[in-house]
Amino acid sequence: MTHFQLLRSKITPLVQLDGVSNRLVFEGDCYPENPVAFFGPFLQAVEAHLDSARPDEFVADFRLRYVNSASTVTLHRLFTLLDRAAERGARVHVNWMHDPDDDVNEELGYDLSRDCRHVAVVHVADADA
Amino acid sequence: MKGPSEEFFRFEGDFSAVAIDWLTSEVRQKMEAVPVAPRARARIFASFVEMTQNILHYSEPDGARGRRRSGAIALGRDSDGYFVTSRNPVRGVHAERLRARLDRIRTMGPDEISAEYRRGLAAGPDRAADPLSRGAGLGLLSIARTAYGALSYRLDPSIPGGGEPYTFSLRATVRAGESA
Repeated sequence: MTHFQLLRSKITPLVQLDGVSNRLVFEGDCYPENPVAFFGPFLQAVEAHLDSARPDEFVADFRLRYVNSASTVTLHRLFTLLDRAAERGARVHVNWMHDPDDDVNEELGYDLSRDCRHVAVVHVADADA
Repeated sequence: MKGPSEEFFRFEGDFSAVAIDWLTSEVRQKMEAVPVAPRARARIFASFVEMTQNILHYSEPDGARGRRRSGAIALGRDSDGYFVTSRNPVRGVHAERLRARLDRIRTMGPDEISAEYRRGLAAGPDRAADPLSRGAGLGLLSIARTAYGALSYRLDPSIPGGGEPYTFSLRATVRAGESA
């Protein structure tokens, strides 16, 4: 079963894919200098898991602080993968949690959700985000 | 008339040798200590990181000192709210690209900036559209998006009349309330 984890650093988030519970977590700051290289293997793992395991249900929790512009493109790719899985019939739940004072992050959540046709994204203002 | 302008954070020097995690921790602590209005913090931080990473990516290395990339970045407060400024040397080819891009962004209203940002987000890192861009061309747009009013910039030639490297200076104003 797929299990993929990147430990949190000051500038990169905790990133987890749990293929058993069909859960994905992004938590922390996110501003690596080269996000395409940094998140590439993780995106591949998510895509492979969604394609091969074909889960009925999948939950993705995003509790991010600052996301640099280069990383937003990677997140958009991830949202596209989740949306595709939902299109094939999986029930995909995406939770986007943001600090109530952080309207930059809040807006990013809505930007990423815009192109999703099959996933319902829940936006939560959360003081602990 | 502009009121007094007061810098509360400045880093100037060799960016290639500085750990970005150190610099960003310092800025967050400083914003708490000042204190900066909570709703302005995320916007200031966003512009700060984008400008810092632009310096790391595009600052013209000082030939005499090997691959070192130097520049300056500062935060402060003035009558418009807060400001984030950066300054670094750039090659002529980057100067032209910055001028074209910033002149265009400066003509755009907030809705246009957001629409272009969303298009870039969906298109991904398209090197063909802007082969010199190391990100997805979203950095300046994202700074413009969190700024109040238009970004201001200067490109000063190193010798009068033109000549690289140019000194590129960028300034974004940030307010705690609505952008634009």
